[in-house]
Amino acid sequence: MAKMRDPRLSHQSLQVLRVFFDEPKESFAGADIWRRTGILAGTLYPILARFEAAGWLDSDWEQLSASEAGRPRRRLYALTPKGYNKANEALAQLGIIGRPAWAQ
Amino acid sequence: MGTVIVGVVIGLITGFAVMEAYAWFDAVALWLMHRAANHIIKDERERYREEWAADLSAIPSSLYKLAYAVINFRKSVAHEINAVFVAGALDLFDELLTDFDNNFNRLNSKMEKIRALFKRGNWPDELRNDLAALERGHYAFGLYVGKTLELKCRLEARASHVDSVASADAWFEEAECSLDEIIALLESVKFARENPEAANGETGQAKF
Repeated sequence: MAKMRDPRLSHQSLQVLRVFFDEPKESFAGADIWRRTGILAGTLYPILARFEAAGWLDSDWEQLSASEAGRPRRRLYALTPKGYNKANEALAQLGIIGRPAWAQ
Repeated sequence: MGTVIVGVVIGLITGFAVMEAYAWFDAVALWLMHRAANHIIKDERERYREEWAADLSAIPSSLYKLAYAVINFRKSVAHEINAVFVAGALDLFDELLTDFDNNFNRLNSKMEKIRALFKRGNWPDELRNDLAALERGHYAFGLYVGKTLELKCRLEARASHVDSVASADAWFEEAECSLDEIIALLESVKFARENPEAANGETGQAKF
Protein backbone atom coordinates (compact mmCIF):
# COMPACT_ATOMS: atom_id res chain seq x y z
CA MET A 1 0.00 0.00 0.00
CA ALA A 2 1.16 3.52 -0.73
CA LYS A 3 2.32 5.54 2.27
CA MET A 4 -0.31 8.08 3.17
CA ARG A 5 -0.15 11.37 4.98
CA ASP A 6 -0.53 11.27 8.76
CA PRO A 7 -3.98 10.03 9.74
CA ARG A 8 -6.50 12.11 11.66
CA LEU A 9 -6.41 11.10 15.32
CA SER A 10 -9.79 10.48 16.85
CA HIS A 11 -10.29 9.42 20.45
CA GLN A 12 -10.57 5.81 19.32
CA SER A 13 -7.47 5.87 17.15
CA LEU A 14 -5.54 7.30 20.11
CA GLN A 15 -6.75 4.38 22.21
CA VAL A 16 -5.44 1.99 19.57
CA LEU A 17 -2.14 3.85 19.40
CA ARG A 18 -1.84 3.65 23.16
CA VAL A 19 -2.06 -0.16 23.09
CA PHE A 20 0.91 -0.31 20.73
CA PHE A 21 2.82 2.44 22.49
CA ASP A 22 2.59 0.72 25.87
CA GLU A 23 4.21 -2.40 24.46
CA PRO A 24 6.15 -1.20 21.43
CA LYS A 25 7.95 -4.46 20.87
CA GLU A 26 4.78 -6.55 20.84
CA SER A 27 2.63 -7.52 17.88
CA PHE A 28 -1.13 -7.57 18.23
CA ALA A 29 -3.92 -9.15 16.25
CA GLY A 30 -7.15 -7.24 15.70
CA ALA A 31 -8.88 -9.41 18.32
CA ASP A 32 -6.22 -8.52 20.95
CA ILE A 33 -6.82 -4.82 20.35
CA TRP A 34 -10.60 -4.90 20.52
CA ARG A 35 -10.36 -6.94 23.71
CA ARG A 36 -8.06 -4.32 25.27
CA THR A 37 -9.82 -1.21 24.04
CA GLY A 38 -13.40 -2.34 23.65
CA ILE A 39 -13.43 -0.74 20.20
CA LEU A 40 -15.67 -2.70 17.87
CA ALA A 41 -13.94 -4.44 15.00
CA GLY A 42 -16.06 -2.50 12.52
CA THR A 43 -14.38 0.69 13.74
CA LEU A 44 -11.02 -0.85 14.54
CA TYR A 45 -10.11 -2.26 11.13
CA PRO A 46 -10.44 1.04 9.22
CA ILE A 47 -8.25 2.64 11.94
CA LEU A 48 -5.62 -0.09 11.57
CA ALA A 49 -5.75 0.28 7.78
CA ARG A 50 -5.17 4.05 8.09
CA PHE A 51 -2.22 3.60 10.47
CA GLU A 52 -0.73 0.96 8.22
CA ALA A 53 -1.19 3.14 5.15
CA ALA A 54 0.56 5.99 6.94
CA GLY A 55 3.48 3.71 7.79
CA TRP A 56 2.86 3.91 11.54
CA LEU A 57 2.02 0.23 11.76
CA ASP A 58 3.30 -2.76 9.91
CA SER A 59 1.45 -6.02 9.63
CA ASP A 60 2.30 -9.57 8.76
CA TRP A 61 0.79 -13.03 9.06
CA GLU A 62 1.78 -14.97 12.14
CA GLN A 63 4.33 -17.68 11.43
CA LEU A 64 2.14 -20.72 11.60
CA SER A 65 0.37 -22.99 9.20
CA ALA A 66 -3.42 -22.73 9.42
CA SER A 67 -3.85 -26.47 8.92
CA GLU A 68 -1.45 -27.35 11.75
CA ALA A 69 -2.97 -24.85 14.14
CA GLY A 70 -6.52 -25.82 13.26
CA ARG A 71 -7.53 -22.17 12.99
CA PRO A 72 -7.00 -19.34 10.50
CA ARG A 73 -3.72 -17.41 10.71
CA ARG A 74 -3.86 -14.12 12.58
CA ARG A 75 -2.63 -10.91 11.03
CA LEU A 76 -0.26 -9.28 13.52
CA TYR A 77 0.25 -5.53 13.71
CA ALA A 78 3.34 -3.88 15.17
CA LEU A 79 4.44 -0.30 15.68
CA THR A 80 7.11 0.96 13.27
CA PRO A 81 9.85 3.37 14.45
CA LYS A 82 7.99 6.15 12.65
CA GLY A 83 4.77 5.05 14.35
CA TYR A 84 6.51 5.05 17.73
CA ASN A 85 7.71 8.63 17.28
CA LYS A 86 4.34 9.81 16.02
CA ALA A 87 2.51 8.03 18.84
CA ASN A 88 4.89 9.50 21.40
CA GLU A 89 4.34 12.97 19.96
CA ALA A 90 0.55 12.66 19.75
CA LEU A 91 0.05 11.05 23.16
CA ALA A 92 2.42 13.49 24.88
CA GLN A 93 0.76 16.50 23.28
CA LEU A 94 -2.56 15.39 24.67
CA GLY A 95 -1.02 14.70 28.05
CA ILE A 96 -1.92 11.01 27.81
CA ILE A 97 1.69 10.06 28.48
CA GLY A 98 4.46 11.98 30.22
CA ARG A 99 4.31 15.74 30.34
CA PRO A 100 2.53 17.57 27.56
CA ALA A 101 4.83 19.12 24.97
CA TRP A 102 3.81 22.66 25.91
CA ALA A 103 4.87 22.06 29.51
CA GLN A 104 8.38 20.87 28.67
CA MET B 1 -50.58 -37.76 32.02
CA GLY B 2 -51.32 -36.56 28.49
CA THR B 3 -50.26 -33.02 29.43
CA VAL B 4 -46.96 -34.30 30.78
CA ILE B 5 -46.22 -36.19 27.57
CA VAL B 6 -47.08 -33.14 25.47
CA GLY B 7 -44.84 -31.05 27.72
CA VAL B 8 -41.93 -33.48 27.34
CA VAL B 9 -42.40 -33.62 23.55
CA ILE B 10 -42.52 -29.83 23.29
CA GLY B 11 -39.43 -29.61 25.51
CA LEU B 12 -37.57 -32.11 23.36
CA ILE B 13 -38.55 -30.37 20.12
CA THR B 14 -37.54 -26.98 21.54
CA GLY B 15 -34.25 -28.43 22.78
CA PHE B 16 -33.48 -29.93 19.37
CA ALA B 17 -34.50 -26.70 17.65
CA VAL B 18 -32.19 -24.66 19.89
CA MET B 19 -29.33 -27.14 19.39
CA GLU B 20 -29.89 -27.09 15.63
CA ALA B 21 -30.02 -23.28 15.53
CA TYR B 22 -26.91 -23.07 17.70
CA ALA B 23 -25.06 -25.37 15.30
CA TRP B 24 -25.85 -22.91 12.51
CA PHE B 25 -24.62 -19.82 14.36
CA ASP B 26 -20.96 -20.35 13.38
CA ALA B 27 -21.86 -20.83 9.75
CA VAL B 28 -24.09 -17.74 9.70
CA ALA B 29 -21.37 -15.65 11.40
CA LEU B 30 -18.86 -16.83 8.81
CA TRP B 31 -21.31 -16.10 5.99
CA LEU B 32 -21.85 -12.54 7.29
CA MET B 33 -18.10 -12.04 7.45
CA HIS B 34 -17.61 -13.32 3.89
CA ARG B 35 -20.45 -11.11 2.67
CA ALA B 36 -18.76 -8.01 4.18
CA ALA B 37 -15.31 -9.03 2.91
CA ASN B 38 -16.73 -9.35 -0.61
CA HIS B 39 -17.16 -5.57 -0.58
CA ILE B 40 -13.44 -5.00 -0.06
CA ILE B 41 -11.30 -4.33 -3.14
CA LYS B 42 -10.09 -7.40 -5.02
CA ASP B 43 -6.43 -7.16 -3.96
CA GLU B 44 -7.18 -6.99 -0.24
CA ARG B 45 -10.26 -9.21 -0.05
CA GLU B 46 -8.51 -12.48 0.80
CA ARG B 47 -6.38 -10.84 3.46
CA TYR B 48 -9.37 -9.46 5.35
CA ARG B 49 -11.32 -12.66 4.89
CA GLU B 50 -8.56 -14.62 6.64
CA GLU B 51 -7.92 -11.94 9.24
CA TRP B 52 -11.57 -11.67 10.18
CA ALA B 53 -11.99 -15.45 10.19
CA ALA B 54 -9.15 -15.58 12.75
CA ASP B 55 -11.01 -13.00 14.84
CA LEU B 56 -14.16 -15.09 14.75
CA SER B 57 -12.30 -18.24 15.70
CA ALA B 58 -10.91 -16.44 18.76
CA ILE B 59 -14.45 -16.08 20.14
CA PRO B 60 -15.37 -19.19 22.14
CA SER B 61 -19.16 -18.95 22.10
CA SER B 62 -21.20 -19.43 18.94
CA LEU B 63 -23.81 -16.96 20.12
CA TYR B 64 -21.14 -14.27 20.66
CA LYS B 65 -19.65 -15.10 17.26
CA LEU B 66 -22.97 -14.42 15.63
CA ALA B 67 -23.52 -11.22 17.59
CA TYR B 68 -19.96 -10.08 16.77
CA ALA B 69 -20.50 -10.74 13.07
CA VAL B 70 -23.86 -8.95 12.98
CA ILE B 71 -22.41 -5.88 14.71
CA ASN B 72 -19.06 -5.66 12.94
CA PHE B 73 -19.14 -7.12 9.47
CA ARG B 74 -21.03 -4.54 7.47
CA LYS B 75 -20.69 -3.22 3.95
CA SER B 76 -19.90 0.25 5.32
CA VAL B 77 -16.79 -1.10 7.09
CA ALA B 78 -15.57 -2.56 3.80
CA HIS B 79 -16.16 0.80 2.09
CA GLU B 80 -14.22 2.61 4.81
CA ILE B 81 -11.31 0.24 4.29
CA ASN B 82 -11.53 0.74 0.50
CA ALA B 83 -11.43 4.50 1.04
CA VAL B 84 -8.11 4.12 2.89
CA PHE B 85 -6.60 2.30 -0.09
CA VAL B 86 -7.99 4.85 -2.55
CA ALA B 87 -6.50 7.69 -0.49
CA GLY B 88 -3.19 5.79 -0.34
CA ALA B 89 -3.10 5.39 -4.12
CA LEU B 90 -3.84 9.09 -4.62
CA ASP B 91 -1.07 9.97 -2.18
CA LEU B 92 1.30 7.85 -4.25
CA PHE B 93 0.47 9.98 -7.28
CA ASP B 94 1.00 13.10 -5.17
CA GLU B 95 4.41 11.83 -4.06
CA LEU B 96 5.32 11.05 -7.65
CA LEU B 97 4.25 14.50 -8.79
CA THR B 98 6.19 16.19 -6.01
CA ASP B 99 9.29 14.23 -7.01
CA PHE B 100 8.75 15.10 -10.66
CA ASP B 101 8.10 18.72 -9.82
CA ASN B 102 11.25 19.04 -7.71
CA ASN B 103 13.37 17.40 -10.38
CA PHE B 104 11.77 19.42 -13.15
CA ASN B 105 12.37 22.71 -11.35
CA ARG B 106 15.96 21.74 -10.55
CA LEU B 107 16.54 20.81 -14.18
CA ASN B 108 14.83 23.98 -15.34
CA SER B 109 17.26 26.20 -13.47
CA LYS B 110 20.20 24.17 -14.78
CA MET B 111 18.85 24.42 -18.32
CA GLU B 112 18.57 28.18 -17.96
CA LYS B 113 22.22 28.37 -16.89
CA ILE B 114 23.32 26.22 -19.83
CA ARG B 115 21.25 28.30 -22.27
CA ALA B 116 22.78 31.51 -20.93
CA LEU B 117 26.25 30.02 -21.26
CA PHE B 118 25.60 29.01 -24.88
CA LYS B 119 24.31 32.43 -25.79
CA ARG B 120 27.54 34.03 -24.72
CA GLY B 121 30.03 31.89 -26.57
CA ASN B 122 30.66 30.69 -30.06
CA TRP B 123 30.28 26.99 -29.45
CA PRO B 124 30.92 24.18 -31.93
CA ASP B 125 27.89 22.64 -33.69
CA GLU B 126 28.36 19.35 -31.90
CA LEU B 127 27.79 21.01 -28.55
CA ARG B 128 24.82 22.96 -29.91
CA ASN B 129 23.28 19.68 -31.09
CA ASP B 130 23.79 18.24 -27.63
CA LEU B 131 22.02 21.21 -26.13
CA ALA B 132 19.12 20.78 -28.59
CA ALA B 133 18.86 17.09 -27.60
CA LEU B 134 18.89 18.09 -23.95
CA GLU B 135 16.13 20.64 -24.60
CA ARG B 136 14.03 17.98 -26.30
CA GLY B 137 14.56 15.60 -23.40
CA HIS B 138 13.64 18.31 -20.94
CA TYR B 139 10.52 19.11 -22.94
CA ALA B 140 9.55 15.40 -23.03
CA PHE B 141 10.01 15.19 -19.27
CA GLY B 142 7.71 18.19 -18.91
CA LEU B 143 5.11 16.37 -20.99
CA TYR B 144 5.35 13.33 -18.73
CA VAL B 145 4.87 15.48 -15.66
CA GLY B 146 1.81 16.98 -17.33
CA LYS B 147 0.52 13.54 -18.21
CA THR B 148 0.95 12.33 -14.61
CA LEU B 149 -0.89 15.39 -13.34
CA GLU B 150 -3.72 14.77 -15.79
CA LEU B 151 -4.03 11.11 -14.74
CA LYS B 152 -3.98 12.06 -11.07
CA CYS B 153 -6.70 14.70 -11.56
CA ARG B 154 -8.86 12.19 -13.41
CA LEU B 155 -8.41 9.58 -10.66
CA GLU B 156 -9.11 12.17 -7.98
CA ALA B 157 -12.32 13.22 -9.67
CA ARG B 158 -13.45 9.63 -10.01
CA ALA B 159 -12.45 8.71 -6.43
CA SER B 160 -15.49 10.55 -5.04
CA HIS B 161 -17.74 8.14 -6.94
CA VAL B 162 -16.10 5.01 -5.52
CA ASP B 163 -19.04 3.80 -3.48
CA SER B 164 -19.37 0.13 -4.37
CA VAL B 165 -16.91 -2.73 -4.62
CA ALA B 166 -17.34 -2.82 -8.41
CA SER B 167 -16.51 0.87 -8.74
CA ALA B 168 -13.59 0.50 -6.31
CA ASP B 169 -12.16 -2.43 -8.28
CA ALA B 170 -12.59 -0.48 -11.54
CA TRP B 171 -10.95 2.57 -9.99
CA PHE B 172 -7.95 0.56 -8.83
CA GLU B 173 -7.61 -1.04 -12.22
CA GLU B 174 -7.55 2.41 -13.78
CA ALA B 175 -5.04 3.64 -11.19
CA GLU B 176 -2.79 0.64 -11.89
CA CYS B 177 -3.04 1.22 -15.65
CA SER B 178 -2.20 4.90 -15.13
CA LEU B 179 0.86 4.01 -13.06
CA ASP B 180 1.91 1.46 -15.68
CA GLU B 181 1.52 4.15 -18.33
CA ILE B 182 3.77 6.54 -16.39
CA ILE B 183 6.33 3.81 -15.75
CA ALA B 184 6.29 2.88 -19.45
CA LEU B 185 6.85 6.52 -20.40
CA LEU B 186 9.75 6.79 -17.98
CA GLU B 187 11.19 3.53 -19.27
CA SER B 188 11.03 4.92 -22.80
CA VAL B 189 12.95 7.99 -21.61
CA LYS B 190 15.54 5.74 -20.00
CA PHE B 191 15.76 3.58 -23.11
CA ALA B 192 16.10 6.63 -25.33
CA ARG B 193 18.90 7.96 -23.15
CA GLU B 194 20.76 4.67 -23.18
CA ASN B 195 20.16 3.94 -26.88
CA PRO B 196 19.82 7.30 -28.63
CA GLU B 197 20.16 5.88 -32.15
CA ALA B 198 17.60 3.11 -31.70
CA ALA B 199 15.15 5.45 -30.03
CA ASN B 200 15.45 8.06 -32.80
CA GLY B 201 15.12 5.52 -35.53
CA GLU B 202 12.42 3.21 -34.25
CA THR B 203 9.92 4.84 -31.99
CA GLY B 204 10.38 8.50 -32.66
CA GLN B 205 9.52 8.99 -28.99
CA ALA B 206 11.62 11.01 -26.62
CA LYS B 207 14.39 11.83 -29.03
CA PHE B 208 17.42 12.90 -27.07
